[in-house]
Amino acid sequence: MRAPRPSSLAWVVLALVAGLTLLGWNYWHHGVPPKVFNAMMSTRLGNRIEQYALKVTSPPAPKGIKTLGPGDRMPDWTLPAAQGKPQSFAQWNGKRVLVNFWATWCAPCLQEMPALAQAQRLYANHGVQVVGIALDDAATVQRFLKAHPPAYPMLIGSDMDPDPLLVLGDTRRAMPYSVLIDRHGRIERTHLGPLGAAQLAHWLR
Amino acid sequence: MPRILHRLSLLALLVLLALAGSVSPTAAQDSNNLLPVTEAYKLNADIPAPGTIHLHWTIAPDYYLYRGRISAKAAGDTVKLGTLNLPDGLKEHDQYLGDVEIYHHSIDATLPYHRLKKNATSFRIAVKYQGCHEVDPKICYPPHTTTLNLELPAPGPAARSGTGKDTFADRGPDMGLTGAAGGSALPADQAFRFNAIATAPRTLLLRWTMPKGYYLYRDRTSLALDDAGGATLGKPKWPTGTALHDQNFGDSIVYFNQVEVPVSISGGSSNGQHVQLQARFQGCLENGVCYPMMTRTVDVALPQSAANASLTTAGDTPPPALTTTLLGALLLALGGGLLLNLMPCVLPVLSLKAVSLLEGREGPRVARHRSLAYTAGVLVSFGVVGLAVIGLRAAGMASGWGFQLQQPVFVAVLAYLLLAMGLSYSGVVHFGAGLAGSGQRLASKSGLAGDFFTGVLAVVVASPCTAPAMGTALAFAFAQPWPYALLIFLVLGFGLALPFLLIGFFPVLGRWLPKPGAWMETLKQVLAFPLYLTAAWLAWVLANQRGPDGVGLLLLGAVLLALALWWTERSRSRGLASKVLAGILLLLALLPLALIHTLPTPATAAAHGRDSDVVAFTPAKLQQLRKQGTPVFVDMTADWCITCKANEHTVLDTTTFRNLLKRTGTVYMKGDWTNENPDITAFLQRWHSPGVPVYVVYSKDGGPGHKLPSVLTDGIVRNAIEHAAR
Repeated sequence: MRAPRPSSLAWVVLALVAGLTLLGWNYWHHGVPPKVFNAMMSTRLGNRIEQYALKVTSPPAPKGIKTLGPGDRMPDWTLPAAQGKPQSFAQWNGKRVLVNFWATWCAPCLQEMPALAQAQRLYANHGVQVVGIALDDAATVQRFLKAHPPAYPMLIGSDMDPDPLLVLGDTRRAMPYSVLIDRHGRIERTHLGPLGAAQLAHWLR
Repeated sequence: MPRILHRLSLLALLVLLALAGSVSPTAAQDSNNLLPVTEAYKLNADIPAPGTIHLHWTIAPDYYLYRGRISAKAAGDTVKLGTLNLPDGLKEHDQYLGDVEIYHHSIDATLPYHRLKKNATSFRIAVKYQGCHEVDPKICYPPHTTTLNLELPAPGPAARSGTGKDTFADRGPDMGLTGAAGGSALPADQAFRFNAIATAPRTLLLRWTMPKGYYLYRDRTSLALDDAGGATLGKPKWPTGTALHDQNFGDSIVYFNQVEVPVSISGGSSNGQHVQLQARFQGCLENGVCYPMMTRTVDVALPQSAANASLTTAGDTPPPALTTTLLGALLLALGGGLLLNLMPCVLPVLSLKAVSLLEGREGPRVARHRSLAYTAGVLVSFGVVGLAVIGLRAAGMASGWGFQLQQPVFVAVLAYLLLAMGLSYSGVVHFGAGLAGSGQRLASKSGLAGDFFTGVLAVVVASPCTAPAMGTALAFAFAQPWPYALLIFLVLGFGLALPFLLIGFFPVLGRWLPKPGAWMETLKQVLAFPLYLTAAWLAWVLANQRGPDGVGLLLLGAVLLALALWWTERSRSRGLASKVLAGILLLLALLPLALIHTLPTPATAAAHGRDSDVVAFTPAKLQQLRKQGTPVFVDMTADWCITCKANEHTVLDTTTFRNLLKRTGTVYMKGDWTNENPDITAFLQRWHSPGVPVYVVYSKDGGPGHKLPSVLTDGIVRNAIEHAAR
């Protein structure tokens, strides 16, 4: 194969630069289209950058509340369940626990639920337990769960003080928020925003 | 094969660069920096007509609110609320939530209320709302409750106008007293104090004083004289204001804290008369209430003659009028210009010129022409700067020497320029035959043009420097009619150009310069480094003006510029496409400049708060300290002012100075003029100074201040402060 002549290569580069400049100009003025942006952010690198940026820009916790982060020991909570007796986190000792905060009014939370249910099914024999904590009033949660039966334990966190979201480091109190706890009861990582199947596979496999 | 790899990697680099340029910081901010709830959804409320509350949400792009999750209730029992009327939103079907209605951009809702308590003047309502972010990361905020404080409108418009001299005839629905989230506004006559006095038989000085956070619109002010016997008012001389964007009037010039405006009177009988001045003006409280048109009438007694006129009203006796004569000022200007050659910001260009002269030793004629071209460049640019300053001052906009460095874009352009020069010295790129080219073509036109532009360059990079003698000369210039001022500017330029003019015309002097040789190439490469250093310093200046984003853009631009120049050099022997590419790369490198221009000014609080024992300058604080009998040392500085930095290094940042302050109980007050600041400009004008630094010491006994020279020594400062504290 013959190597391209320098001048023709320069034309290619020129066209490329012109095209990219136009694209950049367009993005600058109209913003990156949400679809492109979401695709960029759902790559592993994009996601890591996004979560880092979210962490860095998060507001400080209110005074008097100690927040926990990766490496800290997960407190041993006992919370009322949506259906049945109160449940203690101690029962899942020795498992990797994925705690997922949600509410019935939070559309992205509800949209990520099927992926969580699937993860529970796929990785149960890897020693993984998904646990949902609803920050909503109990009656509404029960009504919702009757229509959409859950595939994993659902607890109610709205009566807890201080707010469990703050304790686990989500100082914006935004949802969905997920916390992965390792086999030794220490926080492994946290994630703000919905988790997808690919991401869950990467985390839990 | 390796050639192809090489090209591919170049291609990849270009793509990466283009991508880096295309990901806008605003887009990144929207998505990677989630807004706090109160900024994602901004809520305002007002009462356009008795009985109805108007609620307005401004929703940031990519955020939305749920209709079903908005509610309002009254706090306390002052009013009873009716049902909230929300507009129709975007109807969506969600497989889990069912049918939902959401809002983007903004919501205008109305809420009827019924008054339960007759005498109440205000009431509070709690509004709850909840929403989500719809691009990655898709999250929802917890329900948020805002408590709004609303002022009940008076039963009739007459009840209001009973207070003060204000009349409220112009009260329109959009300018009504609006309730702002959480803040209560002062009555109009307390928020805006207006006063006028005569400072000369034909000059009035108007003063508006406002508490913190209140501002006055410049262009919504009108002045008139009542039954003045034929006298009319001249054009008010507004000082430099603050540019502000608000929802009422868009972009406008406003004044905070205090503004003093001189106005001349013409016509009418001349002496010992009273005039009734009527001022109509409008203003607002930041992020909140706007006041309706206010009208105030004050009676001003005009003094008999000039002898009675004094400026005591400013609470400050200005220094005696300048005694410098024109000849003295011209000599000072010449000296200042000469000294400018040695200032650290001109030195890089000086060395550049030295190289150029060393290379150009081909005979007296050529040398003479070249030095003349250089001088012309210097003089023309000094003339342009002088005319610009004079013109802008007449328009009340600019303030003095060095004002151009308050423009971040100018700082960035200067940094680019120095970087480009540095790169040419380092041999990355060669600019024509003029500055760094081969010696044979020096006598050609491009050589002379090169010398001319070296002169222009010298003036451009000299702008951050005020040579010691220059200050006095410029101060004199600004007090004179414009032809004199221009003359002083030109003499300053002549001083700057003088050393090279002498070398050009007296070859004897040139003989002292060493013979050209291979060492010159080394010298040139060494001289690149002061240029890089100056560019680095400008980046630091920009950091103080526009924060890390500004520096980030500048550095990105600098890398692109280096890339473009490198490619320009390579494309010299290539085809057209390659040259066009070089041009495009250069244009790309200019893009960050445009973006720097759009960056907001970061909060200045951090700059002031660096030292705990330094007080930030405000006229009110100075007034207060002087009333208390505290000696004050006022330091007006700017990050781009080299003389200021030198003084800080040698005197003001030392422990000796700190101990001196402690011992004498003197307060160190610092004004930062890095960005435009009308208060500081006014202070500089009062002290007849066109720029910074200015140091003024106010003594304990409340006497007039004492201005120190612009170059400080420990001794000068110690004497002044000890004297002031006695």
